[in-house]
Amino acid sequence: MSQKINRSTPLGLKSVLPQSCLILAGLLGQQALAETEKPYSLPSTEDYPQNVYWGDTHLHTRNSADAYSLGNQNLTPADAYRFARGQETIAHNGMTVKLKRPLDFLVVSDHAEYLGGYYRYNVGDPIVTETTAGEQWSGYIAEGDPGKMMASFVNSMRDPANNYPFPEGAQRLIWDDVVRTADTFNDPGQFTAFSGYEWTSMINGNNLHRVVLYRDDFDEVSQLPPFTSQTSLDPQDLWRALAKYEATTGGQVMAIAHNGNISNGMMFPSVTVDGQPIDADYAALRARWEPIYEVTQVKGDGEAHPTLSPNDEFADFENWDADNIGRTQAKEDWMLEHEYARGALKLGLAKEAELGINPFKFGLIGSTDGHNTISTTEEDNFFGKFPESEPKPERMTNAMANDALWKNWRLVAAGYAAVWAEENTRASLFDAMKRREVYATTGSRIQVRFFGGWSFDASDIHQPDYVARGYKKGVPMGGDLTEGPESTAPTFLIAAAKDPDGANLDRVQVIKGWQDSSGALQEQVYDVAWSAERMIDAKTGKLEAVGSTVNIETATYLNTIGAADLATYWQDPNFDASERAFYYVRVLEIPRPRWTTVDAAYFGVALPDEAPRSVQDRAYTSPIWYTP
Amino acid sequence: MARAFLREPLIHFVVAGLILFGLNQLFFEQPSKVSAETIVVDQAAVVEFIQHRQNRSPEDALAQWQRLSQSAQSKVVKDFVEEEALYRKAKSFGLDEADYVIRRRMVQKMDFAAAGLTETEFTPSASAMTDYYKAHQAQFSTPAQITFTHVYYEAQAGGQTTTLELAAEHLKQLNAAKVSFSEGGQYGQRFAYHRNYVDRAEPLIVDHFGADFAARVFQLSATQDIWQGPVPSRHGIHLVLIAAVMPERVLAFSEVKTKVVMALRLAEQDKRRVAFMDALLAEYSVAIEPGLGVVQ
Repeated sequence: MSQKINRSTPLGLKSVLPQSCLILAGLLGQQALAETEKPYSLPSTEDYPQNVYWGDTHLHTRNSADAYSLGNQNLTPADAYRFARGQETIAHNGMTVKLKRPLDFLVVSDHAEYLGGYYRYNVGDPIVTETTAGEQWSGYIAEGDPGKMMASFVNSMRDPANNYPFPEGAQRLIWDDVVRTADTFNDPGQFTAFSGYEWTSMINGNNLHRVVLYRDDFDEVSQLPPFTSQTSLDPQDLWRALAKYEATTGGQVMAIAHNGNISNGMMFPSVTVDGQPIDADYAALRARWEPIYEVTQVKGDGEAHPTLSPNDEFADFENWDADNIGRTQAKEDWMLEHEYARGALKLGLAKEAELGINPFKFGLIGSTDGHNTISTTEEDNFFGKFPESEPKPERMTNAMANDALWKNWRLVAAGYAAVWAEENTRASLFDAMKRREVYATTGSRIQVRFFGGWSFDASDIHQPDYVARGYKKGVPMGGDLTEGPESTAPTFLIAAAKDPDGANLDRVQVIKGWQDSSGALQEQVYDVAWSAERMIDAKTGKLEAVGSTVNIETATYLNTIGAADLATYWQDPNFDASERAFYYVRVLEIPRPRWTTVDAAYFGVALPDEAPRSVQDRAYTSPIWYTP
Repeated sequence: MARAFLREPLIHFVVAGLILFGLNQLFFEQPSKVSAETIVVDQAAVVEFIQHRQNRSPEDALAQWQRLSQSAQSKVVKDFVEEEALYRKAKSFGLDEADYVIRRRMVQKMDFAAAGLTETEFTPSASAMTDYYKAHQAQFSTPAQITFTHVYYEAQAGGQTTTLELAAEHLKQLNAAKVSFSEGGQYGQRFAYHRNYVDRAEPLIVDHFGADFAARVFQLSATQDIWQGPVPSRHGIHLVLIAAVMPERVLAFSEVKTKVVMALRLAEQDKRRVAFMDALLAEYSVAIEPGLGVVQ
């Protein structure tokens, strides 16, 4: 009768309970419940999200001008959905490719500028060949300069007066086809196919791209064609266009920015594209239309940067920080806080103090930005960005876009958008994104719960119903805390579980950012749970590294270190109720071979010197904000 | 009226035919009127040249030619002659045959034309829809799904047997106390993944618990308020309360009518491609070298 039936905890919770006590506790709980009316259908009594759904909100097909130019000439949006649902596809390199586990949702987000245009032009579709743009392209080809046609994709944004956008009629016909295809593959309860596109604004080679994602079906979405950066390069105009869509159709839509790391300081700016200081209108629009940010993808991880966070030994992770997307200007240090999520979340606190509205109050997701129609995120099943970076011996040494851009070994096998939702439907997933109950991973299916509140007990996290307690006594990731009881610091429940098919966990960290009483922005990384018996070094304040089981030669690793799951209660030890703050969770896996190491072993080729040999894939939750 | 006209299948074929005709004009050799060494420059040739270069109608191209100044006309003639000479020489070297880009582009054009006009409204007949629905039931079905909650016991230091005994003991108590679905969360230990699984298909259950557990629970019946088990998983031991096991279900036609139309649209395109390819292949005989070891 003295069986150990509660998990032992490091917090001194009584870990050995007679089982009868447990049952008794349960019966007491039941008695309390019995006083209220019992609903007929019991599973329905829990109205909080019980499922985490995995997807990609950012994928391109041959309908994107750049994808088509760089060799993706056959794989369609329909192929993208089929692959995401688990069907086999033949990649451009001739290999058969399949996901180990299908995705739950997918947004095919082809570039809105000349959407579907290059493919249709090349097959002689009169919808495109008879437009002014089509005629102009025929001229380029006749002059023997097809490169000029390919360049018109970018030139049309910079100079639409001389690189003609498609007329609305052609846009509508093509958009109808895109939206119908999404509806065809949308299968409520099983697989969600969202309608979407990418608004591809670039100013002086600086990336301001946004994915636009709809909650609605054909009847609404088809009413207005995509808003292109040929019409405007200013994100404020995009937001106004989204407002117009909602007002016209009664539908719902959002924008998701990505790749601040190649925006040279323009993604989370202090000034608008016209050079005016951002004001309350800008802040309100941005907060309204951009509830989440794509923090990690193939072109670099954007959570943190070592220059901004010199005390964070994990900040130097798959950063792309040489220049902007056009490669026209080298990076300067001042740009970084306007590019990385942590910097932007901190800036948001300062802007809120100044303007009354936080423009950068976003949740975090990851996605791929694959341009070969094949959405892959795993280190050992990574099919690159363009056809040129699909698995082959030379992909580590060639460079993106016909050797014009960055070396392809730099590509990051990332990422996933994880969404806590009630069910797998457009409405349920969209609503979860809007309330920011989402998180990012760099390619693993790490499961993370994160709750903040004022009255969690240390024992709550170890209870079987910790999730119900989390919702009852607090808010989930993406939520807000304010007006706490006097002289109490916020408390948090955090539970992380390894990808069932992946690497064990190294540690769980809480990252806090705040604005102190002098107005300065601060940050602190706390190790809050970790595997095995490692110590925090008293001198450095650092937790001992987890070690590595990676065999680089064979590109293998073992789950003999790390933990299958980590859970903890945490209370902010340095809380000041008068200071704005945010808290988010970072979960690190143990090291595993990076995709380049997998390639080197498979093809028997040398690794580039600069390429990291192993990688600690990770999850970033949406923050919980505290506002005085 | 115009829409009804566009819906007429015959029109589709005519339009597709016109596209093919255009492709033919573009890509297949015209009967040669003169020797290979002569490049004849007449009005028809320059107008056709303008027409293709600038993607204009023959009338527009003629008008443009006539509007051009003497020097501009000379420039067009020079361009035409140079292009024609380069083209003929390239062909004589067989460059068109060896160029995979040209080959793929031609194949894509044929494929696009064969699939027909995808943007034209496509409204299949009621019988075509029901026939398609009946013939493709797997496409319009939901997989087997389960709704359950569970009470979890981590494998103990004493080994699985001890945990199993403990779980078996608790099973009796849970049932004696008539512990309901939503109350189950107060028992056992914290589980790393979910407590309740609502309408989930087998692959996710395999992912979270392992294949043996998944196979086992999908075989159990829904019992509303009777706990079942113990069921071992890769993590430990579970007691399960199964609210529903839904076998694979074919959705009613009314639920999927729009999907049927869309699927028919894709199917129609495929059908046209296949028909086109069959007709095309009928024009050729294929000889596979016996040494290749492939059976036709």
